[in-house]
Amino acid sequence: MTAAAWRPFRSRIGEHVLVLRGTQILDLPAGAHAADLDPAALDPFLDHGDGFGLDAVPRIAPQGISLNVTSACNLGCAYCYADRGRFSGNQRGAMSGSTAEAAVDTLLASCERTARATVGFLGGEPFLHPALVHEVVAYATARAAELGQPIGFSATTNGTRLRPADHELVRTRRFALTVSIDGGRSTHDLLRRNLLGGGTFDEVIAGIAPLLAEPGLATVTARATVTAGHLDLTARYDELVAEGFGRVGFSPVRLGFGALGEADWPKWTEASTALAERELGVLLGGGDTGYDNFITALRRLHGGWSAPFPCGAGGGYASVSTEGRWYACHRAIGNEEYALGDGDTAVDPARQGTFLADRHVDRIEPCNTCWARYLCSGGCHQEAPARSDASCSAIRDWLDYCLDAYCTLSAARPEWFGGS
Amino acid sequence: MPADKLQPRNRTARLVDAHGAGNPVVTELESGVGNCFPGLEADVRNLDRRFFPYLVVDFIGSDIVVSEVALARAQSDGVTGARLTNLTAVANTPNAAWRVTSLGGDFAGFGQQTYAVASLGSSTSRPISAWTAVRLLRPGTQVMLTLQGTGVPAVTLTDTRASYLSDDGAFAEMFAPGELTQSLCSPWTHDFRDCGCFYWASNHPDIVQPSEPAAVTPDDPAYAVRVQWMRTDRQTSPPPVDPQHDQTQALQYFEINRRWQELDIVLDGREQRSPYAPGTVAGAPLAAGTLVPTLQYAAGVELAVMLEYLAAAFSLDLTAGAVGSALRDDARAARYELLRVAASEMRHLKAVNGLLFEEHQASGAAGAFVPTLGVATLVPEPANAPGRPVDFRPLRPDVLAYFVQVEAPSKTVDALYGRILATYVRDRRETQAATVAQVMAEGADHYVTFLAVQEWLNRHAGTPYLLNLQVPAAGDAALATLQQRYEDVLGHLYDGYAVGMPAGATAVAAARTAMLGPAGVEGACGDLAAAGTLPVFAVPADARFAAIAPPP
Repeated sequence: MTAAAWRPFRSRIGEHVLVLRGTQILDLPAGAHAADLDPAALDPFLDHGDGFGLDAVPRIAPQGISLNVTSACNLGCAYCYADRGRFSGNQRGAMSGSTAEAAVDTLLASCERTARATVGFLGGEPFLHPALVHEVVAYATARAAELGQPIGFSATTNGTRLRPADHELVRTRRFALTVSIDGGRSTHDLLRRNLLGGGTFDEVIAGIAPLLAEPGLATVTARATVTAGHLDLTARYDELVAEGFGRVGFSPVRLGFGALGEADWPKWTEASTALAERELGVLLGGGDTGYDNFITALRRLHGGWSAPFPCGAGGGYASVSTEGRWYACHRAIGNEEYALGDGDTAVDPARQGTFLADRHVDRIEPCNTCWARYLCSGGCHQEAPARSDASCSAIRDWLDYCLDAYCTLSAARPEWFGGS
Repeated sequence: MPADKLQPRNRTARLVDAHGAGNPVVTELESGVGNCFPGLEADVRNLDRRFFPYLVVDFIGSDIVVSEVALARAQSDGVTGARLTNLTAVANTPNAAWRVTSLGGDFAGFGQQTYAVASLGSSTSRPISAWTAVRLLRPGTQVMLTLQGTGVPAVTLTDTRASYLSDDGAFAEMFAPGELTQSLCSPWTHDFRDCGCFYWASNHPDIVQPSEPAAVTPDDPAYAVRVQWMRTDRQTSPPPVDPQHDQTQALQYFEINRRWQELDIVLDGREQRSPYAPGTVAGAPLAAGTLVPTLQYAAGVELAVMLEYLAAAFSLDLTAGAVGSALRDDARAARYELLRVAASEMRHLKAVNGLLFEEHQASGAAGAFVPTLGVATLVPEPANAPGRPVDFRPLRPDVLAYFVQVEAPSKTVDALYGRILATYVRDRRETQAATVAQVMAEGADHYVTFLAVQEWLNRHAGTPYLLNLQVPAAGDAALATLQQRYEDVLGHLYDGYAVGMPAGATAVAAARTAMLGPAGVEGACGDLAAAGTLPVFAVPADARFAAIAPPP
């Protein structure tokens, strides 16, 4: 089967063509139909530049790393990919200051000077070791300043252990803080429980409220995990917005406990597009939205985001274990297939090249014939085994909806997308 | 609508440096040049052919002629009643030569009016043409037309003024492909007629001198008149005298279709009806060894004419006529312009001495450079004339005519520089050539200036703008002062030119100070004039300032 290079689609403002490379979106004239389109008219867009670099396997040094600060967590969420930071026994203890600083040094020595470098904190719960987080932030800030390197920070936290000193650290820097919170109290406490089995909602809110009230330079996003049978996204979104979150994103569980099954994916599509449609109405009315998945999709469509890889894993991104080994992904700590170095070296270019070449979306079947391939890029490497017709349809249906929403919104409110 | 006119929507699509199939963007009307001169990319008059629903009209001269009635479309649009009856009446009698005889509606700027089409253009209180009137009608407002056909009853139609654009901003679909451009250059002679003033792509003279019949002596002043090239009366004996801008004397549209071949070829600004014999080609390079004496003579000429202009300038009476009168304004303007040209000649004197300085340096000759600051014994005259002695005279009409001649292109002084320029060009001495070209360009400005002065002063019968000045007597004290100050100026200039620029700048500045103000040459000239005496200048006794003869 030959992979199509473009795809006609319809929005509520007319007919369009999506040129897959470069995610180029074109309007047909009013009253024209894609069926009458002379394909030669698309040549300039199909032959655009270097094909948007989609054929190349990048050989780039990481621009961002995550530090697995600790293998410990004060919560015991049933669906946790990280096994509370232990990664099935592959990671033990906590990261030392010297290991963290060595990782920062390696990052700063090789990253692109003109772009922002990012140091992230994961776990486990990173704020179980706040001293290390503070130390690394101070160290990286100072080193970056010496080098003239722009730098930012990120952390994924359950929020329960944030103290005033942590709030101050976060809000005085470019800090992208993702808070794992699933919705209102009843939803959240369903699965996000402490080690004694109690709900944690109140603790999360207590820990995060000062930052929501006064975020400073930080951006604080709620990341809600969605399990089968609990697909009331709109209600959850509203609950989290009511708690003060300006940005709310949803992540469906694809593997393991609570994973969405074949029958759940159509419901997921229905729930996510229903919320998006409501928020589109708000946007068209001149308002704004905090629906993170939707914002990301709209902005990526506008910018023509297209990539052969779903994330920076193994390319611009690496995750460092508590012991100091570099892996392509924070979800693969301890998985030798994802190890970028041999223990002595952080990143071995040959291993990195092989890792990426094997995962290029044009080499993955059936992704390499899917119209959504440069937008979805095959999805999370870790979750690839969970790929199914239903889950892939859900992604395509979502993108189809977002293409329509994008055309509609960009026609009505081009300024929402910023300059050009 | 073709499907392949794709519009990029998002950022990556907009990066594509290409356009979809179809006409390139430069063919879109909004990127073109369009006006009512039909030689451009669109004839905007065609936009108004469909100003009235279901009618297509043509603007022919001062008429609005009905060329088509879209009856079927009116019916399919659901037009009924009197509207349909009236349209049908027009449509059913195509041989009646229907014309719009009156127009009623909201004419922007003129308000709600009803005009007889025949009356348009008859006064400034109405639109200047039938087309202009239609164009002024505001889209969306009610328009009432009276249509008159031959041998049929008149019909009155009322409808809404059509818009050029459809609701989505495209040119209204009612226009047929090619309709906006159909009248371009059709016929070409109409466009050629209208595109004057250097607008036509090739040479299209506007104002020319008429052809001189064989029996007429060349340069007969009667043929020095300027007339319209496209005039309808093309006889040349007696010489034509039509006013240049009288459009009634111009060939009309349909006239030029038949007579365009009568338009004369124009060479040297004059119509030519017999084989053209070019005059002597001026401006041949100078013979070897004559560049320096020619430059020296040119310097002498600059100084000579500068002094002549100065004397003439001070002959003008700044108090002539009443305050604010045209006479006083003209006398003052003439004085100012003469002084400006005199100052310009001083810059030329400096430029020529600069060229001489370079020649001296280039020759490797021993000894210091000797500037040329003598007055020419003779000022050049048109070819083959011996030249005339320097003469200081009030600005009488004959004197001003002399000045015009001195500065005229390709004659006298300009011809002298023409040969110098040709020499530098031949020798690929670009910097020097540029200097000479600049001097010549300023000479052309002097020429135009003197023509203007001529125009101002000729308005006044007699010479009421002149002071009644006498030639000074020898031994006149004020004259001695002037001569002394003049020689001081020359002395400073000599010092400055001798060392070249920029070393000599201080001395040249000192010369400028000695020229201007009450204590300078300017003041001395003023004092003489105030005492009823013409300022004149003698050749100084100082050998450095001896008179310069023309080169052999």
